[in-house]
Amino acid sequence: MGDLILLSVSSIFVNNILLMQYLGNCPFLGVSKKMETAVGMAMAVVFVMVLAGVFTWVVNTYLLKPFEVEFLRTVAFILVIASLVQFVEMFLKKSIPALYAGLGIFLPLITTNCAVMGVALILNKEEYDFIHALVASTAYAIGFGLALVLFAGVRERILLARVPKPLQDTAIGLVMAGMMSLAFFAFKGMA
Amino acid sequence: MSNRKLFVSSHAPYWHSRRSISGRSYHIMLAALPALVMGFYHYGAQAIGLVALSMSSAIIWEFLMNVLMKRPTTIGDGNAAVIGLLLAMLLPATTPWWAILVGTFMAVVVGKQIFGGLGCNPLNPSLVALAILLLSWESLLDFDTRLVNYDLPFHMAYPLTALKNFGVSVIPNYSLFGLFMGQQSGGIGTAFGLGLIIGGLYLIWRGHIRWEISLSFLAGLFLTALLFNVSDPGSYANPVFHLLTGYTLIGAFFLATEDSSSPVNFIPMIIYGASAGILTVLIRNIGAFEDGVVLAILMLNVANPILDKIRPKAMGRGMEHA
Repeated sequence: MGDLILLSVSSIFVNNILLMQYLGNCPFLGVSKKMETAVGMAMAVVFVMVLAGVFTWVVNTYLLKPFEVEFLRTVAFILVIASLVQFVEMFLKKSIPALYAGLGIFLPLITTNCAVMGVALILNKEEYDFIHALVASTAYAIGFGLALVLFAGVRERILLARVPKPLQDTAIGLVMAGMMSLAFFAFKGMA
Repeated sequence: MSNRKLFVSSHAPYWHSRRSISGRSYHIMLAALPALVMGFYHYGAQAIGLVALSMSSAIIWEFLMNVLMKRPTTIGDGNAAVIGLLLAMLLPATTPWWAILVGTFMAVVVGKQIFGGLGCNPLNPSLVALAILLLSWESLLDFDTRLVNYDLPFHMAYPLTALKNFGVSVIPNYSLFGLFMGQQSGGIGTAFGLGLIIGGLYLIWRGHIRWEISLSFLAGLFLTALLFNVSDPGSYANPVFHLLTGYTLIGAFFLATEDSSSPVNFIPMIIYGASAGILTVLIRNIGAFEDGVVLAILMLNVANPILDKIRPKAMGRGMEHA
């Protein structure tokens, strides 16, 4: 139990997927201008990342390893994640059309989101057992959502400020993302 | 709904209160003086030169940015000078001149001006600069080697470095009253606890900073350090030691209370201060850095817009028979 708590703290804060491993920065900058889309994106990523982590772990352990075809890992993972995203997209289009419209292009982009793929690869590189893989992928996803929501809060304020013209929008967003990454150094070495 | 009067307003004519942004800046500088004078007394002319360079370069950067952005000159409001002053107070007296220039550039230009100037900076500019200096040139903030040529009449090992490296066995080397009276190495303006408290109380009395943030920061830090200390006195220092060393007091009164990066409502202010205090002790006790104040306050600056969403309900909204 103790090591699971440590693992979640480490995955949420210390090795935050966005701000410490610098994966998945396109949705980080793309959907953080409004709080609602940021929250929606965070939810979508939590959903996809947990499922992807679990599925890729199963595929890796029961399919790739017994048949010794680990060199197919990247291809197999892309296939699993892509089909999962299609599933999420159909689900959202049917049940929550407003959120689907709000997310726009970014939901299909989760297919090629390096954060989701990165988590899948990290889980298998670290050779976690099933419980640890589940906890780690959930924690990474929560860390992603946390960073995205915090960033959206800051960016909503920046939109109200008189930012000089050459720096508006994405440029100031990148500066702010760098500073947030600086602030996340606070958790360095804690777990 | 109680019948308490929520907003009392009287008729015109009104009278100007004579409070201004530049007045606020001068009051902050005045409040920083006691701690600063102790730093000058310890480290001599070099410290005076460093503070002067830091303040003047901050003002020059701000002026250059004003010209570059074709906006009205804002150096008169004194905010750039305050940023430079606070940055210099955090640094050791032997910091090289180029580090000061880089630091004030990062503080004024990157930390404040490109976000739109006064009141638009999402993070505390001085802390942004200090965090960049800390992570880029770690040796700049290694107080033991930077201050090795000073032979002052007290134990010169930087308390938090000693605590990190050698554990609680170093605490008897310091007298708590001595730490309170500034007998410790550190930044130019961070050592003299009494002076910082006097300055902070002055600012609270004049209404320039909020007591909620300072008090909850100190309370959060004290209680967390106390819990660590009670759970294992052999490996974690006592809370009073944490309270008097490092950047704690300057953080509570001068850094966490920076106006555009701290919350405005009562409950968010308490959460903001207390979490910054808790995170500070966590970094000091189990994290990678010696002093957590800088990064802890930066982290809470980032969370500030979310915290400020906890606000009273607008009057008249959501009432059925309004």
